[in-house]
Amino acid sequence: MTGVRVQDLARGPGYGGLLHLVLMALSAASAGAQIPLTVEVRAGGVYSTPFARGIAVVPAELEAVARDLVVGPRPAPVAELALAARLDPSFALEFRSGASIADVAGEGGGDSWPAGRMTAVHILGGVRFPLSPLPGADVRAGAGKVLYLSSEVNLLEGSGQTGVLLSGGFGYRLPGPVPAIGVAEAQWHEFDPAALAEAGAAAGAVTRFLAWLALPVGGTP
Amino acid sequence: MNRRRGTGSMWRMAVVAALAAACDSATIPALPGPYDFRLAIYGADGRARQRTFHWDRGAVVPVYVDDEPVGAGALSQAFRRAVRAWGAAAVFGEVRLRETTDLGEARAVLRWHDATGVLSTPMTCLGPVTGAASTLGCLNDPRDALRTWPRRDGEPSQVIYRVVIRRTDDRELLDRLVIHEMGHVLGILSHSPNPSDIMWAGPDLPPAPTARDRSTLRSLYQTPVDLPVESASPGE
Ligand SMILES: [Zn+2]
Repeated sequence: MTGVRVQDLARGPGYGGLLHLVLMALSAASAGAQIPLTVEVRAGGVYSTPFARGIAVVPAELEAVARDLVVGPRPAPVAELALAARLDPSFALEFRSGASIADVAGEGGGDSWPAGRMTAVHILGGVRFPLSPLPGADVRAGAGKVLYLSSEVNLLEGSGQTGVLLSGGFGYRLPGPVPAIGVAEAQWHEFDPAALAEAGAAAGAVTRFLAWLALPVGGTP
Repeated sequence: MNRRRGTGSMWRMAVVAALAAACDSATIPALPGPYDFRLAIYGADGRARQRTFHWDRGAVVPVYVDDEPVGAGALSQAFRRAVRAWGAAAVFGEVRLRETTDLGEARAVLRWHDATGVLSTPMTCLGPVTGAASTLGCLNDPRDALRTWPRRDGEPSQVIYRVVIRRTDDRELLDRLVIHEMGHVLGILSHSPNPSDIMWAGPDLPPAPTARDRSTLRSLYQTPVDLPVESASPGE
């Protein structure tokens, strides 16, 4: 299984490479233009709404029920690396990429069952503005992409295709000696692979709620 | 001032997006009604009782594919296509097949009809083997549970189903036969009355499970089991 999973991750090589290029370009640009850069490591948790919903009809002869089914990831830890470029005291650009490994579960009739494990890889570009009335607070928005990779989750095998990922959130500089920032974020994307519709299931859209603790680990003054 | 207004509108957009997502209720496409997936078991009184079997929800069912060359032969390839075909049907993660080379953990064995095979064949497991393929399970003595199928080497067995396929050079036919038989292994223990379904008993099977086949699998995995697997592995 290990070999298969390595292959899974290799399906999204373009994104990691792209982030690397963006970071290099930003570093070079900031060195030339004296733009302060911050590198942040972020860790937190993610809760996602279900990937798909459907109905199971158990024949009248047996039970005569129509049971609602859902499948989606369980809450999971998430980590990412972010690079922020403060272009102006009241405006910063940020690029970020990270991943989470989550168990996926099916649910129906008051019961739930394991449906495999997946890796979610995300990459986003966005902006941050200080929230002037509240010192240390900021508001953030961004767009990007999330990829769901798995060789175990039936739903994601060969598909797992998502639309553009939109993101919005708040950051707040936590009091204390460590310059940590707490971030609350909501992400939203379309999720409707053809395979789903063919299988008599639908999702339409998925919302991910994330809570982060961000630690600046480097940068330029 | 302008910038602040920009910030506000961007944040409002994000909130609207999040709310739109929270309120999103995509239309669920309807599947056709399922056909009967139960096995008719005839008791000593000559009466048939319909029994339901399926694996635990969320199970990954290991199948020992007795093929030559191992992992690369036509039977192994057909099995992998069957794994994908039924995986695409069980989108709620109800069940999944996987290949194993460890006979000790296998719950089913898939082999060519003319291979010697790794299972021995006690009389209680014999059944009519006609046509291009078959899936057989063994019943216990009161005929109210499935028992494990003994191994030729006498080692403990967890195998419940033996699947046999007649040799053919027709890859498409082979794929369809293996998908059909794996439908039985997953618990669809009867046949569709509709000739266009993969679980129809006749020739000319479709290339993949149809909407009705998918609906049947989904329905099966929401139905309580009344044909369990006997817990202890009885001696021959
Ligand atoms: Zn059959």
